[in-house]
Amino acid sequence: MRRKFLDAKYFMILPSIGLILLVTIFPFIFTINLSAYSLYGTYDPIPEKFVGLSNYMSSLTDPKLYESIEVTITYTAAATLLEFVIGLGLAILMNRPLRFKRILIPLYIVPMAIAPAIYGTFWTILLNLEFGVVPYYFRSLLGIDIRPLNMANALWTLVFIDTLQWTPFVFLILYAALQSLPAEPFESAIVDGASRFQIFRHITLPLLSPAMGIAILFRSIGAYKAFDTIMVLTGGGPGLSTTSISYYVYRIFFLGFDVGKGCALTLIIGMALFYIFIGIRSLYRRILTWGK
Amino acid sequence: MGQVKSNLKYKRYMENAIAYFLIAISILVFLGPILYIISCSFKNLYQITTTPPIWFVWPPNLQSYVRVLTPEVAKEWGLRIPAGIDFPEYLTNSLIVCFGATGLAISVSLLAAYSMARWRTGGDNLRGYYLSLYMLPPAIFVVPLYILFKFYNLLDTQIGLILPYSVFNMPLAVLVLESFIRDLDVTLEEAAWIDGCSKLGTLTRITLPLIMPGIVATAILTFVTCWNEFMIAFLFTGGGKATTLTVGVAKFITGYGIWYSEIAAASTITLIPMIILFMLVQKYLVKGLTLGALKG
Repeated sequence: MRRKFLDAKYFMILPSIGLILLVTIFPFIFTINLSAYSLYGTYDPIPEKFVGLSNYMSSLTDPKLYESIEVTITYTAAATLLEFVIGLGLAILMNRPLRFKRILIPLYIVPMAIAPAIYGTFWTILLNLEFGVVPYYFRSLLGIDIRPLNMANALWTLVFIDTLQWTPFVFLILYAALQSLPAEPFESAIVDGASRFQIFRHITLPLLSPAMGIAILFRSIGAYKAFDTIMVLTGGGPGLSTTSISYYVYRIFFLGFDVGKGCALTLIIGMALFYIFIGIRSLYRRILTWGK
Repeated sequence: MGQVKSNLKYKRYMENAIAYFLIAISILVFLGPILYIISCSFKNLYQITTTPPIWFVWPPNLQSYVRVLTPEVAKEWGLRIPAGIDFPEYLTNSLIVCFGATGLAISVSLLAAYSMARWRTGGDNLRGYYLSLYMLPPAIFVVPLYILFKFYNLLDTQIGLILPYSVFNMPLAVLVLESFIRDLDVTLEEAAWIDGCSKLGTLTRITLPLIMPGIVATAILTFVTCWNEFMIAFLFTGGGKATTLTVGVAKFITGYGIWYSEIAAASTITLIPMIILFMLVQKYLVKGLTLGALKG
């Protein structure tokens, strides 16, 4: 049979690729042009304001950029680690014949269904220093006066909120994976007299590792994109203590009206993340082919 | 021997009791904040700002729901309402934008997913292309898109939200639909091809009805993601006429004060349908949220 170049299978992927190009790559072309100008609040390139690469230089030499990278990495690592540990613990707890499972598991889905921005606004009420539930119980039960949104605590409060909302995600993935593990290796290990810890260490963990890899990967992606809760709860502050990369771009471009620098910054971060992504992708492929 | 057996039984019993206890605590921690906010939506300002906190209010006060859902009626009743907030309009906007984006994303993605699942079109590179869109933070696409939409006057319009929403949900839709199609036995389709059915015809006549549950699940996931989106809606509409619900809720935090019980009521109205939708697709949730990388 002759191979057709104009096969329907190519036409089928065209609409989606076309739409993606239209919304992502095409606008970037505008950005490249604008990033060479010094523009404030205007989107028309003005020839006199041509500054060449200086927007890139000032972006790269801005210590705030590196501070925001640090904040993003801390937030992502802390939130992912906490969610993973608690989620794994819950999945193991649940992975036994318990009654009421059919009622209990759907309850874990509830936090995930809520918009992060709305979940964030919840905490403006819950963390209110005068009447918020959290500071009240800290004061009345533990006798500690907490300041959840001050310079030292704000980032950890955000990590805590992220953990509360997304631990169930890790739990669901790991629980589903635990439930679908084959029974034979466990049976033979029990016959061979392996202890429970040995079974966990040498059978459960290796069999579970692809699912664990995926849970960690998807949670870290979700965490480093964080913007919504930061926006509604701390506004990147106090100072720069909760300014993530996404929020930093927002600050420069939308709050500072610095169009030229915002464009340069977007291109720099986009390129950097793209190469990081290529690295992650090979990792992701390895995770998917683990144990196959 | 009997002693050992009863010891074992006792041990298992204790373990289960501890498991129940820890699970109960975890659910309390996860759901506590949400339940408290829902209870806040039935309180008046005094009940919200008083300490110790009130967890359960009876009789429930529905005034904040009246203020949020029917500002006109609230005005007639002489209730104070926050200026410049039109929640019913945000609800309409959200519905239009989410249905539009979901419809566009699913119809376009289904074609791509079918082609990728059956003929490996584009191979790993195409899949990587979709994945890159999922992994890169939308913030970096938002700046160029904002400038482009400014030129074409698409800011603060429903189309201006439908386009980016459908595109940013395409990785999810394509990859999840692809995994659903891949799980499907190919023999029926092969029979159709042999009988001379075209590729598109096979998709619409044979495959589509067979993967309908998968399509519905993917559509629901896409819908919920769009509904919950905040950043693009916030930056592109700026709280204007195309404002969606997530941005609308934040508008109750005004320069003059925070409308606590109205925030709670508006949030409750926004989140309850999403919780129900997520419960409906519970079976496919793991698969959907990991872009088909894991079976649910």
